Amino acid sequence: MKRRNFLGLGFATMAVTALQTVGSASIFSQHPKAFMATSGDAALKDAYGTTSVIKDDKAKLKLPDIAENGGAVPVTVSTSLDNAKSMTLIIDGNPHPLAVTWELSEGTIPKFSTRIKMRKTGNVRLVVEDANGKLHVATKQVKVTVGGCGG
Amino acid sequence: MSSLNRREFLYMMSVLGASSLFAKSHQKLFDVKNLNDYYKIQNFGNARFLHMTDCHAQLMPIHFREPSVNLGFDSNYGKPPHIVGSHFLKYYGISENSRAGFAMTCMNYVQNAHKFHRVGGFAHIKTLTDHLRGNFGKDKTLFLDGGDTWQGSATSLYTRGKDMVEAINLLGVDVCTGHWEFTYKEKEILENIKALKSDFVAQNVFVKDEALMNGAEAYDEDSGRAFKPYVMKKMGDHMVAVIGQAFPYTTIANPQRFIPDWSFGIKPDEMQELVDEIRTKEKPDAVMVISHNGYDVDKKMAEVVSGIDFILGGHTHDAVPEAVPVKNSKGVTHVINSGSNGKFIGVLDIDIKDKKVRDFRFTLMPVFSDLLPEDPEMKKYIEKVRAPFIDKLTKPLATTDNLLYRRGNFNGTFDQIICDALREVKGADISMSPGFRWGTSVLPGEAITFDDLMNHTSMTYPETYTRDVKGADLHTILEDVADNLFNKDPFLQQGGDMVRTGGLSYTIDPRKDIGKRITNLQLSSGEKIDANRIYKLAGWSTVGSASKGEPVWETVEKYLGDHKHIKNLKLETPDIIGVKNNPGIELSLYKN
Repeated sequence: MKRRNFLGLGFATMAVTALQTVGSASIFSQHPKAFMATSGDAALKDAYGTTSVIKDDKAKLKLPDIAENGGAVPVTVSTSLDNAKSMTLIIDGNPHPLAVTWELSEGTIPKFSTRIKMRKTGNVRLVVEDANGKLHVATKQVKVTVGGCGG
Repeated sequence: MSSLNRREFLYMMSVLGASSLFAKSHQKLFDVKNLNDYYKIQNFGNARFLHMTDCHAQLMPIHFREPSVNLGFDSNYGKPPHIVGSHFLKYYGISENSRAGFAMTCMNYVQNAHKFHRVGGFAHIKTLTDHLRGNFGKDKTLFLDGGDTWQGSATSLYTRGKDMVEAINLLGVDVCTGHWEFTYKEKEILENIKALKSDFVAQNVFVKDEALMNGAEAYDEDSGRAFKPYVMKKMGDHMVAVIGQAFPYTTIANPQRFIPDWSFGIKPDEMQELVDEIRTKEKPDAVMVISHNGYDVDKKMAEVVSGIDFILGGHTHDAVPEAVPVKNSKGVTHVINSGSNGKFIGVLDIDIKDKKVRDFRFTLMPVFSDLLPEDPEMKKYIEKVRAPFIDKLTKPLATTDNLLYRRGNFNGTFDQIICDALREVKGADISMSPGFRWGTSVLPGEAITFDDLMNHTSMTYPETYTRDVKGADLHTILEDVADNLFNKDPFLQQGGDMVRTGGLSYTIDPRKDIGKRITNLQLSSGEKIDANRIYKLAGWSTVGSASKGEPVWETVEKYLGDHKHIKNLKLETPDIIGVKNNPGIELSLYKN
């Protein structure tokens, strides 16, 4: 109960936990609105100009089924695509869903781990932009519970 | 039945009291002259596993009524363990008034309990497991304990789990894992593990990165695993891997504050990697998992992970008399669950040939305290553990006309006393008590002792609270807990039962999605709950931060002292939609 109230009070209004920008023309500088968008698709549209994505196993997203702590959910993202240009993490249940964009320079190993804040149960999407500008997506639902009674 | 000869058949009729024969169970031996021979089984194969789980620190023989409601839906509809009462008897062909019927169902419970007496008790268990080990060959037998061993009794709390560490050392457990073990403090847990003669294994507990950076200890700093993930054991001429799977939702269902450095989860990918690594590197003859996932979670894990021969599971306290096969990408994994409270020992004999498990026999053996003599050494040890507290433990607090029990998806009668006590003593509109699956039974006509009360409340976060809660929040709480129990995805089920409520009734449709299951919230007066009104709620066992009130056993002790005798207990159960034909509920016992 407490956790949800805590998050509901606005501590999760900005879910950005990391922002890695490499190179001069970053998504962030070109598309500042993306990070302030209030829906995942609006953020995608602003950042990449499209919401059209390919669902395959090229984008890899590792998250728990149930968050131990909605305030710091561990996430690992990676891709098997060569020369991917960027990776973006969207938390659909958050007030501002776009959490992180990693812009990948040549030779970067496309695998990152971080913590994200999740306001409530919902989908997390990893979008990977490949060398041709096509978007690949992986989706996983994470449950944020008010506290169980397991036993 | 055709494979049994007439003498075996007569034996089973006379002792089991039924013609039950579970798939792949052991054959009983011939020449049965007395009741002790109940435990003589035909040995099979070349390696034996004894499995105990969720004993909840019950050193003494107990009564434990199996559930009258344990609902399953979709793919688990009508499948073990979601078959209870008369449905269970029919499914397995057992008669109601047999020993097996008594041990595995709630039917005719009181009469059967008087006839067959208490079950479990470590002195009785030791006699049985020593017999099963000696009979098969000590060098070929492994004793596995699935956890929830250090918690559940007064003495386990008073000694911070140490009485049970010594008890399982005496019992001769070889490998174990945990859940409620993690409700002591990190330092205490590590000390207790050091004092164990068995291997404590858990592949799914990791030291958090932050803690590692601050110098916290890990079993393996590279993987971050907090404990040894598996152990290789020699069994006769064979080598067997035993992997540990601790309760994956410990840090969600129980407080994180006692174990701030550790992170849990089901970790199926890590399990697969580990199984593959063990298969390649160690070349074992068999791969076993000792798991505290819970039955339905184990079944899903058996589906998504390949290469495991058997999952010996616990947590959900299901007495399932057969090993259930689950298909996966590379073969079949069998899933076992061996009940709770020391009521059962699972006996699994496997036949290993050419680095493979060729065949097996499994029998879920009830521990009948009237059939098994006590082991003198264990008896003496238990007396020593209890001696300093014995006056307090045996003190009668009240008497009861009602059968008292907890286990079941919804309110049990002992929970009702706890809920009634919280409301009355604390002057609350509504009370809540967690849906734990531990907690022993008290027969009508018996005294409720302090021991009995502690068997339902003994834990490291027993503090009570009263707080003002909005009607809408009551709904949210019920929805959240119901989703932990009835979520369609087993990996999202935490293995507890529904939160028990006092002064609050509701309707539940378990098949709906979260937010839509609970309707028609009412006070016991019949007044509808107003989403915007504030109600005074009393409860205990807070997972977040410690509450300020007295431990709940003090609340209940006062209530029992005030009332002196429990009679006409009104069980507050919800109206459940869509379960009329569900074999997971014994409707004949579920009327109120």
